[in-house]
Amino acid sequence: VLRLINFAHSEVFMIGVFATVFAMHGLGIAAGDPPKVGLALVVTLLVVTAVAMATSGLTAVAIERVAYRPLRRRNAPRLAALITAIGVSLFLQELFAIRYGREILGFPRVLEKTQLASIGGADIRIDKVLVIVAAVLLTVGLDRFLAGSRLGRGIRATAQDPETAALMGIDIDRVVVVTFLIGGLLAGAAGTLYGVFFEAARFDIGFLPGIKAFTAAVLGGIGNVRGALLGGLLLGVLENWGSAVLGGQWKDVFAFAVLVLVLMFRPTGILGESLARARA
Amino acid sequence: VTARRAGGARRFRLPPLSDRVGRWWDGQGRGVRAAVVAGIVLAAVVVPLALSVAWQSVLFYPVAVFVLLALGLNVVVGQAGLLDLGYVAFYAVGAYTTAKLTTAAGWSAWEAVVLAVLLASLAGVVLGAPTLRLRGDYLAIVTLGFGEIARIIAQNSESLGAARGISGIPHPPAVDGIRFGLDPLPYYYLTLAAIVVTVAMVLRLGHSRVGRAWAAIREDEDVAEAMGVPTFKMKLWAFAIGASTGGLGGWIYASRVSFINPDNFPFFLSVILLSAVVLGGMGSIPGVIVGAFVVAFLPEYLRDVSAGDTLTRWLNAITGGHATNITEYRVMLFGAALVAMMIFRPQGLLPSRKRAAELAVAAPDQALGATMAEADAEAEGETVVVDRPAGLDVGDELPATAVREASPLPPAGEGRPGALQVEGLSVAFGGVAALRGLDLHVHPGEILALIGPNGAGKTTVFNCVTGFVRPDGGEVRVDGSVLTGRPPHEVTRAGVARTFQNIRLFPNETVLENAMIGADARRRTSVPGALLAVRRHGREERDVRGEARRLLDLVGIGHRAGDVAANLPYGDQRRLEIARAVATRPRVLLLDEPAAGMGAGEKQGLSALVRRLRDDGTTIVLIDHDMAFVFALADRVAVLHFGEKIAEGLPADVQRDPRVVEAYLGAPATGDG
Repeated sequence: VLRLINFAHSEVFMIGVFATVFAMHGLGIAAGDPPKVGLALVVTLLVVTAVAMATSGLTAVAIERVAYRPLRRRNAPRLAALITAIGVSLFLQELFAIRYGREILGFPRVLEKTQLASIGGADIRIDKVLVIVAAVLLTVGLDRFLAGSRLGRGIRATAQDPETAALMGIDIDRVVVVTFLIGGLLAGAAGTLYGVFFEAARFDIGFLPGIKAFTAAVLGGIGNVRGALLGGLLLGVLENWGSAVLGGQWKDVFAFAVLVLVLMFRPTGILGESLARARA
Repeated sequence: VTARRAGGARRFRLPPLSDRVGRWWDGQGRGVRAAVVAGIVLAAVVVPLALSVAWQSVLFYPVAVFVLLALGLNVVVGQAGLLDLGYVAFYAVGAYTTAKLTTAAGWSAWEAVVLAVLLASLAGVVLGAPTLRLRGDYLAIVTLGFGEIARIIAQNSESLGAARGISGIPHPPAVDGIRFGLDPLPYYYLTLAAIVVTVAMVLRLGHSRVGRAWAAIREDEDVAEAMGVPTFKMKLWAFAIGASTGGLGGWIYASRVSFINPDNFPFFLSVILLSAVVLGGMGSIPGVIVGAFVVAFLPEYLRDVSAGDTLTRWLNAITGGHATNITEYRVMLFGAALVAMMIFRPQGLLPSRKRAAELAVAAPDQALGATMAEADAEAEGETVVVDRPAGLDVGDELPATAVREASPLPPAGEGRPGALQVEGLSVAFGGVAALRGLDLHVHPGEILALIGPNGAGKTTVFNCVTGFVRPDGGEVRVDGSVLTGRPPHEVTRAGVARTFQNIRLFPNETVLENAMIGADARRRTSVPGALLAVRRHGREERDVRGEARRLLDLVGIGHRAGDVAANLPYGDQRRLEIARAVATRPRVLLLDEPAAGMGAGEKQGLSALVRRLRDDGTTIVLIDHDMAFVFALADRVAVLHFGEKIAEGLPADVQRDPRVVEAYLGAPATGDG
């Protein structure tokens, strides 16, 4: 939205995953415990998600405060912001690497991965359903917020022309903070989902999802919430199709290739709004 | 808004130490400078002899190799302003090429070096070709992606040894009794030689039209195009040159360690090199060398001394980590350093003083010099010409004849004015028709004024003619050759130059450099030519400099040649923009509101200048809202209204045309923007 690629977003996500683990530990769930069922499951998931979202959201806001705001105040060029973002990303990653080790951190299993049904050979597992439902819900929520609320309007205005927005009485700093907060909250939620699904955490897990998230956003059209959902879905399908054809080790290459191709031929993405600015 | 921004921007000043070093340097003559450089090189040669083998080894890798790589990256990031996060891929290409050629094809390392460098620069071109059209941050992420792709390919290709890598790479055979074996020193000297050569090359390019083109791209890519800089090609060259340096580094590294695998080329190596460039100062060669030295040497040094252990324990206490030595904190500290540098000292430790100002404040194109550092004026070590120009001056109401006698100007565009033909030009922006089938014929050697109410499509005509906007229909020709569909820099080279409605100079370059970038448009020295300093290159450099100076004198700002463009007062900025456009030697010159914001005296000077340019053989098309100015100056006038031409003819006739009067709501003589 702010026409700024937040390289540190990957780390905000990573922190969300870690927060999920610690929240689980905090609830007294140990690695060997049996999975939860019924009400206990719902409560656990909600609490854990809330903790992860809060942690990630706060991290994102802190990053904005410490790293970006001074630059924005000075009206520093984009290159400076980019380098800062990379610095923050690296710092957080290594901080977690040193603190929690470079090994994979195991997750307790809270959700029994029951097979619900099988359609045409594809497994429909409860955790997968959870991820999809949550993604759709969050997207709809964000879409509503941006389209309907006063702050949402402010964000859209700021994205289009910060100076005019400022003249119209919008507090740019506040808008930016809110943007980072929303980004952080969503990353935190994603962190929980990731944790429940993959049951693993490591200091560098943020990197690939970060790039892929960016690819998905570009694919769907930067600045378009629905487009991002569509882009994510499409990228996932493409990736799995690609690795089926070429072999699993090329899966990640696929994401990059998609990114490059989209940027070259349709920088506005599938549902792109008027962002031809992506072109130099 | 501008005022608010200017007030909010922190005043920018270099801290005293580096400033003093820089000033001292500027004050020295050639001899002293050469002695200092020789002293540094000598120290680099002699000091390692006194060290233990372990330290000699550190000096080779990482120190010398990092310096070499950082210099290459600096061409891309520092000079051309392109953020490349996949730089390590080129290093890997160089290393893998060497490994493959020496182990599988039985080449010696000396034979492999050429191919290693060539393949790396080829990789730069292949990588750059699809990506360099993208804007800065997209470029960064795509290059990052490419870097990862390169690593994944190496990891998964059996022919490259997959995860095991390639081992048994032979050392280079002995040359003149110097044996390349396990002893690190010969490799260190080899790298040192490579560094010296690279520095020489980079310096030479930096002071040629190539360096000016990169600076122009960095500052304002659109305007660089308009001034005849083939931006895409120049960016590709920057990539290729940076990549070839990386390839050279890879070659040296592979032939020393004799064993490489994908883990030697991780993403964070790119970032470490980037920190080296940022830390030292983007675009500054001494800065980058110092930065790379710090980044490579400091962790190794701290690992060795007890202060490092203390620091490690201290950091462990803060982070709750369990690091056993300081190198584990290396990347984290670099990350923090990147942030801190960008916030507190974006220009780096030993900054390139020109880029310092650039990084402090993103110079908006309407920068009026209010916030820029005064300190930059003497930055270039360029002697400022203070004698008053013989040409016209502000407010001096010089009769045209007087101006004529002072003629220092080479005949513009081979002295032959061009005929501009616009036929059936149509443009629509998202359904709104900006131009509808416009026909416009500009005769050679006339001044045609294009007027009309705001939004009539005047600037759109300019944008179409110069290739910035691709028309939906119609054709633009100059002397019969079709311009439509060609990129702006080709249009400029075909003899059409323009100025911009809102002044768009290269704000952080000097006045002289601005004009020189324009004058470069007509030169033919290629990048290799500039590198090898072929004779034509030297002659062209002198020509360009002389021509730029003459033009600055002509427009009356010759005495400010050494100033940074953003520091000029408004009227002088306008005049510099005209000088820059004229420097491309156009046969057709498009002036977009050149008189906007000028006082009456300045306007008179401008009129004399425009007439003068016409008499020297340039066709001129002019947009302006000051009717008195326009009708006094123009040979003919064309009036646009809602994208259509409603009148065309002699000024007196147009003034009486009822449709024109109607379009201006009965106020024909006083319209202003």
